Amino acid sequence: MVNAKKSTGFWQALDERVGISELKYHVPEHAQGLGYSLGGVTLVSFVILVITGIWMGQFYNPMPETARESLLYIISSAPAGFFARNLHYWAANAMLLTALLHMLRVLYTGSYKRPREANWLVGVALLALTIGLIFTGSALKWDQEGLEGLAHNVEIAAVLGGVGGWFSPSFTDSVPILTRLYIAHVSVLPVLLFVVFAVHALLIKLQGLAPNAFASRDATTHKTAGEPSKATFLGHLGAVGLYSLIGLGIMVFLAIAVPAQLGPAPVEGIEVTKPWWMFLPIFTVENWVGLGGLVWASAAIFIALAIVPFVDRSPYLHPARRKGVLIAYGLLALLLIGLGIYSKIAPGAAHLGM
Amino acid sequence: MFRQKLQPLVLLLISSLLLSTGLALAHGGAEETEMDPKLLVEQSVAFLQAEPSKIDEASANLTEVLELETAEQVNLELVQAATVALGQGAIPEAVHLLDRSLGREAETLGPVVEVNLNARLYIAMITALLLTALGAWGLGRRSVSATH
Ligand code: HEM
Repeated sequence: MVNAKKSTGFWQALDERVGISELKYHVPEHAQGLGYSLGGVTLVSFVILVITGIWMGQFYNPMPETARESLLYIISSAPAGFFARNLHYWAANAMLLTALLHMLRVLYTGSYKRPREANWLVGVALLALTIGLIFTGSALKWDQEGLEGLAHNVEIAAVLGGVGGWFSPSFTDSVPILTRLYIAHVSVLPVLLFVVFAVHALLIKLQGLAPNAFASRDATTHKTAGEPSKATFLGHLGAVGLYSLIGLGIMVFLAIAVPAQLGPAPVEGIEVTKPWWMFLPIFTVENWVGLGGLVWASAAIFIALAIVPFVDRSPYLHPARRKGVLIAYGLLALLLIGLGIYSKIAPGAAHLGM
Repeated sequence: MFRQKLQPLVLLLISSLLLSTGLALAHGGAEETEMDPKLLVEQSVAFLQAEPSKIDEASANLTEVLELETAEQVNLELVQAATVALGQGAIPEAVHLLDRSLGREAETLGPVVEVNLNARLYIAMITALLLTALGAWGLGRRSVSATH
């Protein structure tokens, strides 16, 4: 235990019962900065999403005939519905953005190296689940964009053949696909995300955070759990809390000033909308090579991410000693950003066999 | 050695790309079937609202509707009027007429979320910024105490 000052009264009583001071175990000193708090900030966004999502769930009706109406009700009449929806929207953007920044930090500091390769893969799974949550969520709006997203879902099922069965409306006649996507959005995916995160956190606890990559040019990777340091996990949680407070302030501000949109009532058989920013890069690929491109480009991106620790196997952490891998993945990131921007400005193309 | 290990992966990526192109080419070319006039008008409205550059697609749909002698659930006179409006480049008017031709209120369409800032919301926004400032202040204090 570090800094175990004798506290009195209420805090002492509380501590005795819930063991807050047990959280004062050592963590590496560099864990207090923003770079090492991004994972925690991502988790806080997830918690905000769960709370606002549960609230909206009281008013949302996941049947195709009534879904958009119930969303209009949330926006216009449900208590705090407008605010909950907009905070949910901005927290979803924030969660993905900070998860991506967190991944870039891990990539830049080589924190995926032995013995943390498995946790990198767990992280890739968390990213996939986050994107899955955003995709299913955007279909629930049941406006033109939602319908087109769902139509992609259905056509992807066709491209995948047998494997895609679950994504197809013909999987069952008794429940509409929108309702099944809703179940995925509010229970399957969040529960999975929570469980996978628990594994992520457990591995961090067992291995400790990666050593400081910038300590010297020769810094190497190893387990840090149990190493003495002046910093504590409780202090790290404090840093995460303060960064999250800043994030929450920005999100609340945006939720009021720039509310989430709801497009026109959906019309079948046309493609006139563009997806959310995170899907724009593969939307371009889809524009070029057709619907199959969407499946294969996504698979290629995730494979490229998954192989990082197996491509870069040296024990060195300093970026100057890992130029090859950093340049390669930097170029990939630039390519994706470029494709996204191009997609935003280029006219849309129809891909679905509508 | 390592290059050899990567070979299957590169092959996989290339074959995936080829497969996707093949799928893309095999895709499309759906047969023309007679369309429901109501759906055609709805599509025109969506085109005009979401992507006004697709004015030609919208007009083509309307021409197809007007070629029908009778159309259930669609008022052809209003569709005719909308075509005239489109011919003059008056998109909002055309959308309005098309909405009415389907017997629906124009206001139920289109993006529906507007921000009407009132005093309460201004206070909420200021509170939000205060939260942000509080977080920044806390971080500032932490870094000061860390350096001492
Ligand atoms: C999407 C939700 C995610 C959450 C909630 C999350 C959470 C966390 C947290 C709290 C930490 C502790 C240190 C820190 O915050 O930097 C961490 C570390 C780590 N994360 Fe994540 N993470 C997520 C996604 C990812 C992704 C996408 C990757 C990579 C593909 C990843 C890979 C790692 C690795 C390798 C570590 C250990 C880093 C080190 O030892 O310095 N995580 N994560």
